[in-house]
Amino acid sequence: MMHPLSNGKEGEEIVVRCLDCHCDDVCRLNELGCVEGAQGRIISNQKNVILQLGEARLAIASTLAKTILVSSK
Amino acid sequence: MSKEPLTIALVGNPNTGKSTIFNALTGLRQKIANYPGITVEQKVGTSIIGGVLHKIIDLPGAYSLNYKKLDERIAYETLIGSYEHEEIPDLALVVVDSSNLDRNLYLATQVMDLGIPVMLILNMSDVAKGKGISINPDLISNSLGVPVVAISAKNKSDIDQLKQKISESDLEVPEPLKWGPDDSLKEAMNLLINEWIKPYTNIPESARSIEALRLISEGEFNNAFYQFEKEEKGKSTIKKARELVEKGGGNPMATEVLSRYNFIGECTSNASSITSQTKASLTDRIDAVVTHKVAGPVIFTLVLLFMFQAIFSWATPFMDMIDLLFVEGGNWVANTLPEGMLNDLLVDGVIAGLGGVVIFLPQILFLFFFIYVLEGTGYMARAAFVMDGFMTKVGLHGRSVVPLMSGFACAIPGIMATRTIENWRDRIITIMVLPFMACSARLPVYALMIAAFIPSTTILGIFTLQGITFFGLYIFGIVMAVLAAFVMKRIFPTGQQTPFIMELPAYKMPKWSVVFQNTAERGKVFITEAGKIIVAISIVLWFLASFPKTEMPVLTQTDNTEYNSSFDVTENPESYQLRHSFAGQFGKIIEPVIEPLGFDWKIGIGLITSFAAREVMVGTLNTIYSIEEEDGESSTLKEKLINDVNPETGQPVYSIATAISLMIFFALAMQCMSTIAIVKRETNSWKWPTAMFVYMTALAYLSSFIAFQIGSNL
Amino acid sequence: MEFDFQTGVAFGMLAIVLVYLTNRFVLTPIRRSKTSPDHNCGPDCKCEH
Repeated sequence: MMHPLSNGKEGEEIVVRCLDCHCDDVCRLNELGCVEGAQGRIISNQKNVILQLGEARLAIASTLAKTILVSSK
Repeated sequence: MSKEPLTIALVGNPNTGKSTIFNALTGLRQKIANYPGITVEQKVGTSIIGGVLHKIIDLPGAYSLNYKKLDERIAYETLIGSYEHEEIPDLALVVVDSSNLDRNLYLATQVMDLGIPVMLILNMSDVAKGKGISINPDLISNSLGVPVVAISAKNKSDIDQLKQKISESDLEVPEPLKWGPDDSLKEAMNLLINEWIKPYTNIPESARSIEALRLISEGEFNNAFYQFEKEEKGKSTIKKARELVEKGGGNPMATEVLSRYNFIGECTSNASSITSQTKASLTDRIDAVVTHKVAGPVIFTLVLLFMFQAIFSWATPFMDMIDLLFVEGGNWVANTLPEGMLNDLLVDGVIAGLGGVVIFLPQILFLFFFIYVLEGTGYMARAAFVMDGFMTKVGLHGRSVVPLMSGFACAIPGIMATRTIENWRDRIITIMVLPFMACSARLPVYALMIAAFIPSTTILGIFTLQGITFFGLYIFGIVMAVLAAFVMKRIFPTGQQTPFIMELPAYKMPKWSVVFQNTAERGKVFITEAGKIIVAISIVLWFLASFPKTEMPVLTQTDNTEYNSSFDVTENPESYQLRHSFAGQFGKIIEPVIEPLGFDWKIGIGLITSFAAREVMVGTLNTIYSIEEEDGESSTLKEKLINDVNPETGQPVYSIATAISLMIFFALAMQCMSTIAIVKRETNSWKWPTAMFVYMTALAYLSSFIAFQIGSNL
Repeated sequence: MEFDFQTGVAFGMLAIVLVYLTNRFVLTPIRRSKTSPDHNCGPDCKCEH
């Protein structure tokens, strides 16, 4: 079941399913390793989200996190 | 490897230790210049490797060659040899963070497509080991087809190993497109190269594949490279190429990225493994506190408070030493040189002017030290994250935090750092409010006023009223920047919002040698750049304050019967001469304008000269007060200010209200020609720097006026 | 005013300094403001990158 990243819980292991944001943001996220199918863990979700993807730790604005659809692993 | 000198470029993601490797390779044989036409710093040095002197270029950190930011574009253009007088590098050293291998290899595979010899440096191998990550460099090398060396840039022996590897390199060009684009992507690339890039652009052959991939992904092209009259042809070719990818079942925007990551995954799956997560959980625990929505901003405020308190108190003994040195130096010159004009000029002009500013070198060094430590530990990125929500509310962007923090050191690098903000509106608002951040040039004025007029009462056992006032001035700058941004948010139209995305680097101990080297470099710049201007202005000012030579009238019984405004019985001859000098006369002309702010003509002259650079104010005051000083007297500027009395009223020139008014004026006024020039260049218009100058200076005048009027009536 | 060696050196220093200041604060800013940037510089700039 997919849900926006912004709705994920701290510590939740997730899989990125769909990037439903502006194409510039999609490109930037992709380059940072946030591609469809990437697996990660939500470190913090207090409006803005910190997402651990592999060894990369990304800080993502809440507005953007709403457009990233993920599913629990 | 040939014995010819090579041009070697260091390329990699931000925070991979590229600059540490650059410093280790070049030592002191480096220079910082600007890229042609832009003010991004270009670090070039030389290194002797295998007995040959090679040129080393440290490129700005980049996540990708599909550039969106200026830094990334510079890395790309340097690698493809776009800059005049810059040849294509003979070897690219791609520096990757071993503890974050997959993400870093994305850029490496792009560089490998450029047709230049590549060597992969797995840096921070010690950090990776600490995280339980083990990497087999030979397997990575076999998969990628490029030489690989695992190092920790902190170890000298590892740097020697790197040099050895470079000297043994056969400079073989890696196989292009090794990551294997699928057939439809290949077809689309060929279409673009043959029908558009090759016939109509000047993109070098080696960069055509990368450029084609960029166009397919982004669906638009970079005007700077292309002939405008063929724009339509370009657009239609890009469209056709994207349709080919879609026909093959791919997403033009993501196909390349996904293919590269698949390839990287295959390369690293056997070559790297994770055995434990101990260190990562420690980072998690730290992040849980410092990025917490309540604790985060509190910690950020405490960090700033500690930083400014430390700057103020730790620097004091060093400042006293420098002060003594200049006072004694001045006395020595005065007693050694025969009496005459040169003697006076050197003692009262040059030494007094320079001494008044060099005294603040310890504080400048502490300020930069703290900024480099915060950057080096990885905290600065967390500060941006923590403040993003607040920044967005007031009309700024999370990415504005780092430029604004840089503004504490100097507005110029801060304004240049706004280039990481992709949205124009966010960027221009950040530029327009950035000069409110209390830069290091304001520090001498703040420090002087606080030391002279704010009591050093201890508060809560560890803080002093002076330290807290100092901190308060920095907070005042931040608050004014926030208010100004809040107003500007309503003036400038809202466009496409760019949400905050930032990589948070792992926490690590800063590399102390780099911190000290960079801090020393900034101290040197302060002394050489500001020092030159200060000495020059002090000399001019000394002449303006010493000529025309006026003899003080001899006091007689008749003269004393009526009050003569140009002559005061309590005045010494030096003071009389100063009041009647060119500087004195000019000061008297502007005095009515600044009098409501609590300033006398001497401060007025300081204000005028400080429009060249803020720190000149202190040198100016020191020169003026030294000229006025009676022969044989010798006291510090602080003492001179405290003891200065208005000859007409008999009241002290400086009150606490005057000091506060002056500090507020300095906090808000736009008194920096270099900042004006850089804003003109960054915005390509006089409109923005003019608006900045007018609104900041008007605000400064009004605020100082209110502060002084309230303060003096309390 | 007597024109001795010290006065000569002092005025010599003034002349050098005036040349330096003119160059630093008048000529260089004029030259710099004429150099156009070639990067993302917003709506006042034709280029987008």
